[in-house]
Amino acid sequence: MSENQNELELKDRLSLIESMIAEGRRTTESWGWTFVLWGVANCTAILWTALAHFPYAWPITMTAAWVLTLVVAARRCAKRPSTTLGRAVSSIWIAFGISMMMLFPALGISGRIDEYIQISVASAMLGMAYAASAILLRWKAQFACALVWWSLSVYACFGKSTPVAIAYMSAIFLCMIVFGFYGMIAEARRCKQAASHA
Amino acid sequence: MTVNVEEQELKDRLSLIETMIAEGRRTTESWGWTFVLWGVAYYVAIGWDILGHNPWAWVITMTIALLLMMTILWYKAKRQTEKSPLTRAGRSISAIWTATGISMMMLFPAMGFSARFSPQIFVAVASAMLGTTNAASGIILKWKAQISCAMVWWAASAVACLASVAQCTIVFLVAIFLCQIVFGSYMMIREACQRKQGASHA
Repeated sequence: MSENQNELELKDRLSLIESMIAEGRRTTESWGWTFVLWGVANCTAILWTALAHFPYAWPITMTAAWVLTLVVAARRCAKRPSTTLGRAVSSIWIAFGISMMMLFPALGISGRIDEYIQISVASAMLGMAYAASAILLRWKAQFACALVWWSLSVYACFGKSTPVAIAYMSAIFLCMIVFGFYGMIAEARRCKQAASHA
Repeated sequence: MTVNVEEQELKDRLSLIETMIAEGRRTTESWGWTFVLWGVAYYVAIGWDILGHNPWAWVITMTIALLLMMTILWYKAKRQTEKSPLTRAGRSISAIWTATGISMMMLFPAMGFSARFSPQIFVAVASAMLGTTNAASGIILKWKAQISCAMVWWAASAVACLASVAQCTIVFLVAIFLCQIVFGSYMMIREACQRKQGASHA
Protein backbone atom coordinates (compact mmCIF):
# COMPACT_ATOMS: atom_id res chain seq x y z
CA MET A 1 0.00 0.00 0.00
CA SER A 2 2.72 2.42 1.05
CA GLU A 3 4.78 1.43 -2.02
CA ASN A 4 1.79 2.21 -4.25
CA GLN A 5 1.35 5.55 -2.52
CA ASN A 6 5.03 6.36 -3.00
CA GLU A 7 4.79 5.45 -6.67
CA LEU A 8 1.73 7.69 -7.07
CA GLU A 9 3.48 10.54 -5.29
CA LEU A 10 6.52 10.13 -7.53
CA LYS A 11 4.30 10.09 -10.63
CA ASP A 12 2.52 13.25 -9.42
CA ARG A 13 5.84 14.94 -8.82
CA LEU A 14 7.17 13.88 -12.22
CA SER A 15 4.06 15.11 -14.01
CA LEU A 16 4.32 18.40 -12.12
CA ILE A 17 7.96 18.74 -13.21
CA GLU A 18 7.03 17.92 -16.81
CA SER A 19 4.28 20.54 -16.76
CA MET A 20 6.77 23.02 -15.27
CA ILE A 21 9.19 22.39 -18.17
CA ALA A 22 6.37 22.93 -20.68
CA GLU A 23 5.33 26.11 -18.85
CA GLY A 24 8.95 27.29 -18.81
CA ARG A 25 9.26 26.78 -22.56
CA ARG A 26 5.99 28.65 -23.12
CA THR A 27 7.32 31.47 -20.94
CA THR A 28 10.49 31.66 -23.07
CA GLU A 29 8.41 31.63 -26.26
CA SER A 30 6.43 34.56 -24.91
CA TRP A 31 9.75 36.45 -24.71
CA GLY A 32 10.42 35.88 -28.44
CA TRP A 33 9.94 39.61 -29.11
CA THR A 34 13.03 40.44 -26.99
CA PHE A 35 15.23 38.22 -29.19
CA VAL A 36 13.91 40.03 -32.28
CA LEU A 37 14.27 43.46 -30.63
CA TRP A 38 17.88 42.83 -29.57
CA GLY A 39 18.73 41.27 -32.93
CA VAL A 40 17.46 44.39 -34.72
CA ALA A 41 19.25 46.64 -32.17
CA ASN A 42 22.57 44.85 -32.74
CA CYS A 43 22.20 45.08 -36.54
CA THR A 44 21.33 48.79 -36.24
CA ALA A 45 24.39 49.50 -34.08
CA ILE A 46 26.73 47.56 -36.41
CA LEU A 47 25.44 49.29 -39.53
CA TRP A 48 25.39 52.73 -37.88
CA THR A 49 29.04 52.29 -36.78
CA ALA A 50 30.13 50.90 -40.15
CA LEU A 51 28.36 53.42 -42.39
CA ALA A 52 28.39 56.65 -40.37
CA HIS A 53 31.49 55.97 -38.20
CA PHE A 54 29.57 57.42 -35.26
CA PRO A 55 31.41 56.59 -31.98
CA TYR A 56 28.26 56.66 -29.83
CA ALA A 57 26.24 54.33 -32.08
CA TRP A 58 26.58 51.36 -29.69
CA PRO A 59 25.79 53.17 -26.40
CA ILE A 60 22.78 54.97 -27.93
CA THR A 61 21.30 51.87 -29.60
CA MET A 62 21.88 49.61 -26.60
CA THR A 63 20.37 52.14 -24.17
CA ALA A 64 17.32 52.59 -26.41
CA ALA A 65 16.92 48.79 -26.64
CA TRP A 66 17.18 48.48 -22.84
CA VAL A 67 14.56 51.15 -22.21
CA LEU A 68 12.22 49.61 -24.78
CA THR A 69 12.70 46.12 -23.28
CA LEU A 70 12.01 47.35 -19.75
CA VAL A 71 8.88 49.30 -20.78
CA VAL A 72 7.34 46.44 -22.79
CA ALA A 73 8.38 43.78 -20.25
CA ALA A 74 6.87 45.75 -17.35
CA ARG A 75 3.55 45.95 -19.22
CA ARG A 76 3.53 42.26 -20.15
CA CYS A 77 4.80 40.85 -16.83
CA ALA A 78 2.05 42.56 -14.85
CA LYS A 79 -0.46 40.30 -16.63
CA ARG A 80 1.24 36.93 -15.98
CA PRO A 81 2.17 34.79 -12.96
CA SER A 82 5.77 33.52 -13.04
CA THR A 83 6.64 29.81 -12.98
CA THR A 84 9.60 28.11 -11.25
CA LEU A 85 11.37 27.36 -14.52
CA GLY A 86 10.45 30.76 -15.87
CA ARG A 87 12.14 32.24 -12.81
CA ALA A 88 15.25 30.11 -13.36
CA VAL A 89 15.49 31.10 -17.03
CA SER A 90 14.86 34.75 -16.26
CA SER A 91 17.61 34.66 -13.60
CA ILE A 92 20.06 33.51 -16.31
CA TRP A 93 19.08 36.35 -18.64
CA ILE A 94 19.08 38.98 -15.88
CA ALA A 95 22.59 37.92 -14.80
CA PHE A 96 23.72 37.89 -18.43
CA GLY A 97 22.28 41.39 -19.02
CA ILE A 98 24.01 42.85 -15.95
CA SER A 99 27.34 41.25 -16.99
CA MET A 100 27.12 42.67 -20.48
CA MET A 101 26.22 46.10 -19.07
CA MET A 102 29.26 45.99 -16.77
CA LEU A 103 31.77 44.49 -19.17
CA PHE A 104 31.28 46.16 -22.54
CA PRO A 105 31.08 49.83 -21.46
CA ALA A 106 34.19 49.26 -19.28
CA LEU A 107 36.04 47.63 -22.19
CA GLY A 108 34.89 50.43 -24.51
CA ILE A 109 35.98 53.23 -22.17
CA SER A 110 39.37 51.59 -21.57
CA GLY A 111 39.92 51.42 -25.35
CA ARG A 112 41.14 47.83 -24.98
CA ILE A 113 38.50 46.28 -27.20
CA ASP A 114 38.59 45.62 -30.94
CA GLU A 115 35.98 44.09 -33.24
CA TYR A 116 37.39 40.55 -32.85
CA ILE A 117 37.33 40.60 -29.07
CA GLN A 118 33.90 42.21 -29.01
CA ILE A 119 32.39 39.54 -31.27
CA SER A 120 34.24 36.67 -29.62
CA VAL A 121 33.33 37.63 -26.06
CA ALA A 122 29.73 38.59 -26.85
CA SER A 123 29.23 35.31 -28.72
CA ALA A 124 30.73 33.21 -25.90
CA MET A 125 28.46 34.91 -23.35
CA LEU A 126 25.40 34.55 -25.57
CA GLY A 127 26.30 30.88 -26.09
CA MET A 128 26.46 30.47 -22.34
CA ALA A 129 23.01 31.99 -21.75
CA TYR A 130 21.38 30.13 -24.66
CA ALA A 131 22.90 26.79 -23.61
CA ALA A 132 21.94 27.13 -19.95
CA SER A 133 18.37 28.01 -20.90
CA ALA A 134 18.23 25.20 -23.50
CA ILE A 135 19.49 22.55 -21.08
CA LEU A 136 16.89 23.68 -18.54
CA LEU A 137 14.03 23.64 -21.03
CA ARG A 138 15.31 20.60 -22.98
CA TRP A 139 14.94 22.70 -26.11
CA LYS A 140 17.00 21.52 -29.10
CA ALA A 141 16.35 24.65 -31.23
CA GLN A 142 17.82 26.88 -28.54
CA PHE A 143 20.77 24.56 -28.00
CA ALA A 144 21.49 24.68 -31.75
CA CYS A 145 21.64 28.48 -31.41
CA ALA A 146 24.14 28.07 -28.53
CA LEU A 147 26.33 25.92 -30.80
CA VAL A 148 26.22 28.64 -33.47
CA TRP A 149 27.32 31.27 -30.89
CA TRP A 150 30.16 29.09 -29.57
CA SER A 151 31.44 28.35 -33.08
CA LEU A 152 31.41 32.06 -33.87
CA SER A 153 33.23 32.82 -30.64
CA VAL A 154 36.14 30.58 -31.71
CA TYR A 155 36.06 31.71 -35.35
CA ALA A 156 36.20 35.41 -34.39
CA CYS A 157 39.57 34.80 -32.71
CA PHE A 158 41.19 33.55 -35.93
CA GLY A 159 39.14 35.00 -38.83
CA LYS A 160 39.63 38.16 -40.87
CA SER A 161 37.59 41.32 -40.41
CA THR A 162 35.00 41.05 -43.19
CA PRO A 163 34.21 37.31 -42.91
CA VAL A 164 33.94 37.64 -39.12
CA ALA A 165 31.52 40.57 -39.47
CA ILE A 166 29.42 38.61 -41.98
CA ALA A 167 29.40 35.57 -39.69
CA TYR A 168 28.30 37.78 -36.77
CA MET A 169 25.45 39.33 -38.76
CA SER A 170 24.36 35.85 -39.90
CA ALA A 171 24.42 34.54 -36.31
CA ILE A 172 22.34 37.52 -35.14
CA PHE A 173 19.86 36.87 -37.95
CA LEU A 174 19.57 33.13 -37.22
CA CYS A 175 19.80 33.01 -33.44
CA MET A 176 18.03 36.25 -32.54
CA ILE A 177 15.68 37.32 -35.32
CA VAL A 178 14.64 33.93 -36.74
CA PHE A 179 14.60 32.25 -33.30
CA GLY A 180 12.62 35.17 -31.85
CA PHE A 181 10.04 35.05 -34.65
CA TYR A 182 9.76 31.29 -34.14
CA GLY A 183 8.92 31.94 -30.47
CA MET A 184 6.44 34.67 -31.37
CA ILE A 185 4.69 32.44 -33.92
CA ALA A 186 4.49 29.55 -31.42
CA GLU A 187 2.97 31.92 -28.85
CA ALA A 188 0.46 33.36 -31.33
CA ARG A 189 -0.60 29.82 -32.34
CA ARG A 190 -1.14 28.87 -28.71
CA CYS A 191 -3.21 32.00 -28.07
CA LYS A 192 -5.36 31.18 -31.12
CA GLN A 193 -5.85 27.59 -29.93
CA ALA A 194 -6.77 28.78 -26.44
CA ALA A 195 -9.29 31.24 -27.91
CA SER A 196 -10.89 28.57 -30.09
CA HIS A 197 -11.13 26.15 -27.11
CA ALA A 198 -12.75 28.82 -24.92
CA MET B 1 -15.31 24.56 -2.18
CA THR B 2 -13.40 24.94 -5.49
CA VAL B 3 -11.70 28.02 -4.11
CA ASN B 4 -10.51 25.99 -1.10
CA VAL B 5 -9.18 23.20 -3.32
CA GLU B 6 -7.37 25.71 -5.52
CA GLU B 7 -5.92 27.44 -2.48
CA GLN B 8 -4.71 24.11 -1.11
CA GLU B 9 -3.17 23.22 -4.49
CA LEU B 10 -1.39 26.58 -4.61
CA LYS B 11 -0.09 26.07 -1.07
CA ASP B 12 1.17 22.56 -1.99
CA ARG B 13 2.87 23.93 -5.06
CA LEU B 14 4.49 26.76 -3.13
CA SER B 15 5.73 24.40 -0.43
CA LEU B 16 7.14 22.10 -3.14
CA ILE B 17 8.95 25.06 -4.70
CA GLU B 18 10.33 26.09 -1.30
CA THR B 19 11.51 22.51 -0.68
CA MET B 20 13.13 22.49 -4.12
CA ILE B 21 15.02 25.74 -3.39
CA ALA B 22 16.23 24.37 -0.04
CA GLU B 23 17.25 21.07 -1.68
CA GLY B 24 19.01 23.02 -4.44
CA ARG B 25 20.99 25.04 -1.91
CA ARG B 26 22.03 21.84 -0.13
CA THR B 27 23.08 20.37 -3.51
CA THR B 28 25.16 23.47 -4.25
CA GLU B 29 26.78 23.25 -0.82
CA SER B 30 27.87 19.71 -1.60
CA TRP B 31 29.83 21.19 -4.55
CA GLY B 32 31.86 23.53 -2.31
CA TRP B 33 35.06 21.50 -2.92
CA THR B 34 34.93 22.36 -6.66
CA PHE B 35 35.03 26.09 -5.82
CA VAL B 36 38.11 25.52 -3.65
CA LEU B 37 39.71 23.22 -6.25
CA TRP B 38 39.32 25.74 -9.08
CA GLY B 39 40.38 28.63 -6.83
CA VAL B 40 43.62 26.81 -5.99
CA ALA B 41 44.07 25.86 -9.68
CA TYR B 42 43.79 29.56 -10.69
CA TYR B 43 46.40 30.47 -8.05
CA VAL B 44 48.77 27.76 -9.31
CA ALA B 45 48.32 28.88 -12.94
CA ILE B 46 48.85 32.57 -12.12
CA GLY B 47 51.89 31.82 -9.95
CA TRP B 48 53.43 29.50 -12.54
CA ASP B 49 52.75 31.99 -15.33
CA ILE B 50 54.30 34.94 -13.44
CA LEU B 51 57.26 33.14 -11.83
CA GLY B 52 58.01 30.42 -14.36
CA HIS B 53 57.08 32.36 -17.54
CA ASN B 54 55.71 29.11 -18.94
CA PRO B 55 53.30 29.80 -21.83
CA TRP B 56 51.56 26.46 -21.20
CA ALA B 57 50.98 27.15 -17.48
CA TRP B 58 47.28 27.91 -17.87
CA VAL B 59 46.55 25.09 -20.33
CA ILE B 60 48.33 22.46 -18.20
CA THR B 61 46.84 23.62 -14.87
CA MET B 62 43.29 23.91 -16.20
CA THR B 63 43.47 20.47 -17.85
CA ILE B 64 44.79 18.89 -14.64
CA ALA B 65 42.06 20.64 -12.58
CA LEU B 66 39.38 19.39 -14.98
CA LEU B 67 40.72 15.82 -14.89
CA LEU B 68 41.02 15.93 -11.09
CA MET B 69 37.44 17.20 -10.75
CA MET B 70 36.11 14.50 -13.06
CA THR B 71 38.06 11.79 -11.20
CA ILE B 72 36.72 12.95 -7.81
CA LEU B 73 33.20 13.11 -9.22
CA TRP B 74 33.53 9.60 -10.63
CA TYR B 75 34.92 8.32 -7.31
CA LYS B 76 32.11 10.01 -5.34
CA ALA B 77 29.44 8.59 -7.67
CA LYS B 78 30.95 5.12 -7.32
CA ARG B 79 31.07 5.33 -3.53
CA GLN B 80 27.48 6.53 -3.26
CA THR B 81 25.30 3.49 -2.59
CA GLU B 82 22.03 5.34 -3.04
CA LYS B 83 21.67 7.65 -5.98
CA SER B 84 20.21 10.98 -4.84
CA PRO B 85 17.51 12.34 -7.19
CA LEU B 86 18.34 15.53 -9.07
CA THR B 87 16.14 18.44 -7.93
CA ARG B 88 14.70 21.15 -10.17
CA ALA B 89 16.94 23.84 -8.66
CA GLY B 90 19.90 21.45 -8.78
CA ARG B 91 19.25 20.83 -12.49
CA SER B 92 19.01 24.59 -13.10
CA ILE B 93 22.30 25.25 -11.34
CA SER B 94 24.10 22.41 -13.11
CA ALA B 95 22.77 23.68 -16.48
CA ILE B 96 24.22 27.14 -15.76
CA TRP B 97 27.63 25.83 -14.66
CA THR B 98 27.84 23.36 -17.57
CA ALA B 99 27.10 26.16 -20.06
CA THR B 100 29.71 28.40 -18.39
CA GLY B 101 32.32 25.64 -18.42
CA ILE B 102 31.81 24.94 -22.13
CA SER B 103 31.88 28.68 -22.98
CA MET B 104 35.14 29.17 -21.08
CA MET B 105 36.69 26.07 -22.64
CA MET B 106 35.78 27.36 -26.10
CA LEU B 107 36.70 31.02 -25.64
CA PHE B 108 39.93 31.14 -23.64
CA PRO B 109 42.06 28.60 -25.54
CA ALA B 110 40.95 30.23 -28.84
CA MET B 111 41.84 33.70 -27.49
CA GLY B 112 45.15 32.41 -26.17
CA PHE B 113 46.22 30.72 -29.41
CA SER B 114 45.16 33.71 -31.52
CA ALA B 115 47.21 36.04 -29.25
CA ARG B 116 44.56 38.73 -29.69
CA PHE B 117 43.99 39.49 -26.04
CA SER B 118 45.71 41.08 -23.05
CA PRO B 119 45.77 39.94 -19.39
CA GLN B 120 43.27 42.71 -18.55
CA ILE B 121 40.78 41.40 -21.08
CA PHE B 122 41.21 37.84 -19.82
CA VAL B 123 40.50 38.90 -16.21
CA ALA B 124 37.57 41.13 -17.27
CA VAL B 125 35.90 38.42 -19.35
CA ALA B 126 36.55 35.55 -16.91
CA SER B 127 35.22 37.68 -14.03
CA ALA B 128 32.13 38.72 -16.02
CA MET B 129 31.38 35.08 -16.85
CA LEU B 130 31.82 33.95 -13.25
CA GLY B 131 29.69 36.91 -12.13
CA THR B 132 26.91 35.84 -14.48
CA THR B 133 26.98 32.25 -13.22
CA ASN B 134 27.13 33.14 -9.55
CA ALA B 135 24.35 35.72 -9.95
CA ALA B 136 22.04 33.31 -11.80
CA SER B 137 22.65 30.59 -9.16
CA GLY B 138 22.22 33.11 -6.35
CA ILE B 139 18.90 34.36 -7.74
CA ILE B 140 17.56 30.81 -8.24
CA LEU B 141 18.58 29.74 -4.72
CA LYS B 142 17.71 33.13 -3.17
CA TRP B 143 21.20 33.02 -1.63
CA LYS B 144 22.62 36.39 -0.65
CA ALA B 145 26.16 35.07 -0.08
CA GLN B 146 26.37 33.88 -3.68
CA ILE B 147 24.87 37.10 -5.05
CA SER B 148 27.56 38.97 -3.08
CA CYS B 149 30.19 36.82 -4.83
CA ALA B 150 28.64 37.79 -8.17
CA MET B 151 28.97 41.46 -7.23
CA VAL B 152 32.64 40.96 -6.34
CA TRP B 153 33.22 39.30 -9.76
CA TRP B 154 31.40 42.12 -11.60
CA ALA B 155 33.41 44.76 -9.75
CA ALA B 156 36.63 42.87 -10.61
CA SER B 157 35.54 42.73 -14.24
CA ALA B 158 34.99 46.50 -14.47
CA VAL B 159 38.19 47.37 -12.54
CA ALA B 160 40.32 44.99 -14.66
CA CYS B 161 39.43 46.91 -17.83
CA LEU B 162 40.80 50.16 -16.45
CA ALA B 163 43.77 48.88 -14.39
CA SER B 164 47.41 48.08 -15.16
CA VAL B 165 48.55 44.44 -15.45
CA ALA B 166 49.87 44.38 -11.85
CA GLN B 167 46.71 45.97 -10.40
CA CYS B 168 44.51 43.69 -12.46
CA THR B 169 46.39 40.58 -11.21
CA ILE B 170 45.94 41.69 -7.59
CA VAL B 171 42.21 42.30 -8.16
CA PHE B 172 41.85 38.84 -9.73
CA LEU B 173 43.74 37.15 -6.86
CA VAL B 174 41.54 38.86 -4.26
CA ALA B 175 38.33 37.93 -6.12
CA ILE B 176 39.48 34.31 -6.43
CA PHE B 177 40.30 34.20 -2.72
CA LEU B 178 36.94 35.62 -1.67
CA CYS B 179 34.58 34.02 -4.18
CA GLN B 180 36.23 30.65 -4.74
CA ILE B 181 38.29 29.71 -1.70
CA VAL B 182 36.40 31.46 1.13
CA PHE B 183 32.94 30.84 -0.39
CA GLY B 184 33.85 27.22 -1.25
CA SER B 185 35.19 26.56 2.26
CA TYR B 186 32.03 28.13 3.73
CA MET B 187 29.92 25.70 1.68
CA MET B 188 32.05 22.74 2.74
CA ILE B 189 31.72 23.72 6.42
CA ARG B 190 27.94 24.06 6.09
CA GLU B 191 27.72 20.67 4.41
CA ALA B 192 29.82 19.07 7.13
CA CYS B 193 27.61 20.64 9.83
CA GLN B 194 24.48 19.33 8.11
CA ARG B 195 25.99 15.86 7.83
CA LYS B 196 26.82 15.95 11.55
CA GLN B 197 23.27 17.07 12.38
CA GLY B 198 21.87 14.32 10.15
CA ALA B 199 24.04 11.71 11.88
CA SER B 200 23.02 12.88 15.36
CA HIS B 201 19.30 12.80 14.39
CA ALA B 202 19.61 9.27 12.96
